Amino acid sequence: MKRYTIILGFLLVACSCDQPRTNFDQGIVPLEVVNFTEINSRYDDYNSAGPMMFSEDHFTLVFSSKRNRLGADFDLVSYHCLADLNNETGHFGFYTDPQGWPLLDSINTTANEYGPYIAIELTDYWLNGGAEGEEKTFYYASDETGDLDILFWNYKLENGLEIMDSGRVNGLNSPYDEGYLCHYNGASSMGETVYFTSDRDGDFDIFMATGDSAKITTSVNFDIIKLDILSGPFDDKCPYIVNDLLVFTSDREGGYGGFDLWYSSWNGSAWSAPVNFGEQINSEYNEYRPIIVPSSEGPLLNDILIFSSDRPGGAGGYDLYYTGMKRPKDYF
Amino acid sequence: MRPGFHICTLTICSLLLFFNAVPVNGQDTNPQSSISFSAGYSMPYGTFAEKSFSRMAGFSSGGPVMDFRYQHFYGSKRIFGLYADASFTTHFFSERSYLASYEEVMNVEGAFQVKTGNYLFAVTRLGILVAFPEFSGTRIILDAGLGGAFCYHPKLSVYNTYWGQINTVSEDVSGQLMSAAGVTIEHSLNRYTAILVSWSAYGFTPSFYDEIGPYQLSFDLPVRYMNFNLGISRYF
Repeated sequence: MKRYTIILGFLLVACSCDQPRTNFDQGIVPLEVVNFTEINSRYDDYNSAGPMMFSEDHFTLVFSSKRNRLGADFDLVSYHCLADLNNETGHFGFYTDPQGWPLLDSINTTANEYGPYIAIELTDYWLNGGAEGEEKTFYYASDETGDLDILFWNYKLENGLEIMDSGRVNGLNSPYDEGYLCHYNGASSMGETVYFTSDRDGDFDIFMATGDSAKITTSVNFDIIKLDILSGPFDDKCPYIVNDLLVFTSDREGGYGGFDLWYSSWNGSAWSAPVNFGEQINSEYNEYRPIIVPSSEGPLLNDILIFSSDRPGGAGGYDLYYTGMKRPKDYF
Repeated sequence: MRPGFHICTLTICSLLLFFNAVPVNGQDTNPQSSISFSAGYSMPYGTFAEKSFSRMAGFSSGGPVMDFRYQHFYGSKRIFGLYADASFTTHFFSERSYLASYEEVMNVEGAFQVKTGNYLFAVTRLGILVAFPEFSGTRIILDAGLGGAFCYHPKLSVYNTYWGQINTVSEDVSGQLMSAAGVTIEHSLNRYTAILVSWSAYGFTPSFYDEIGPYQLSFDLPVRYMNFNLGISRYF
């Protein structure tokens, strides 16, 4: 009898939770810059990578941080980010949780690890529609050998993490610094095409490379082109492309001081001249490594832009920040 | 002459005749039963009156109400009794406040357009009456009752010229058990006719189904309002 009373009591409490009327069909990320306080530490936190699709309300964010060894060097750390959407009040925020990822334990060294990028192997993705067990590639850059090189890990998530192989993307690396690789096939009809940063021509510029095999990681020879329209006599770094929109950081003229965030759109045949994101996002301090979390087809009305900055008011050093992006068509 | 004028004139004349007619029996004892008609203003309160994006906000700005009641007292002193009541209320949805809430929360480019209708509530209830003894032809009657409410939620649509469609909620109707309590002050004009001023408070929480929203969820709307009425009673 007592048990039934407890169950009845529980049901009465459960039934008393009223469901409010929604005032927002989708969440809206505010167009102001917000410090990602949920994940920042008093050490430098920057160089993030997010998902290529954000169809649910959560995603994994990987970024470089000095927190692991108390400021000694940059390691890659991972956080599970759950969007805090209130469809009644319009409030937007994040719940976050540190995510132990065995792959990162294998990657992190006493050198600096930068510029992570989570890529789904495009051929597998197109054939299988992103089925479970697909092979994925994780790219990053490390200065373990003195200069910055691009490395990769091929892995599969099936009954746990299965690492297929790993190594350097030899055809892209040089005695100079290379890093911040990202995929984009809009400018090429054959094989995988990647964009990356290198200072092989004196200052940091943005390059496009297409390998001679179906996969970048198995290619030996590359067709590497410097993108002149995105590369000036200043430092142009950290290209990141989502839905035909390339975002990058540059200390070129026309900014608001230090490194600023810029964007360029692909019109089907060429990249447009870079446009500054404006003072709503950029400041007199450095803004660095922008990434787009494409969410406007999912639970949100607009995409999220995540970047790092050393502007004052943060938790310490470089911090990660996020802001809502405008409508996609405003960038084209 | 317009047909509506005839109907209106006939209705008013009928009501005047009814409320001024003197029954041919029951002259020796106080009449025990009455029917009344009253109308007035229905004022929302609680979260139903909230006009910002706070939890369960109803954005109601009140509206007109009309009420019909039958009541019967027991005993010659007419202290205890029962009543049956039906009221019809419209609550205007405050489009202006709703729009201002979006402007405050989003602070973005573009203009908002809100399209919606009004809430409608038809309530019937049964309950008990307790009356204070009459003085100077005036008496105070307390009532409390339970009943059912038929509720209508209007279709709601919010569009922003920059972002596009922001919100859609479908229209729906819902039945709900409800409770109410009130006070009526009656002043006798003669043995059978009295004018009244009444206050009553209603509370119920209907559930509506949002058929066109992206999540197609049911939602609850805590409805709380108070009616302030003026009217007339006829005892028999």
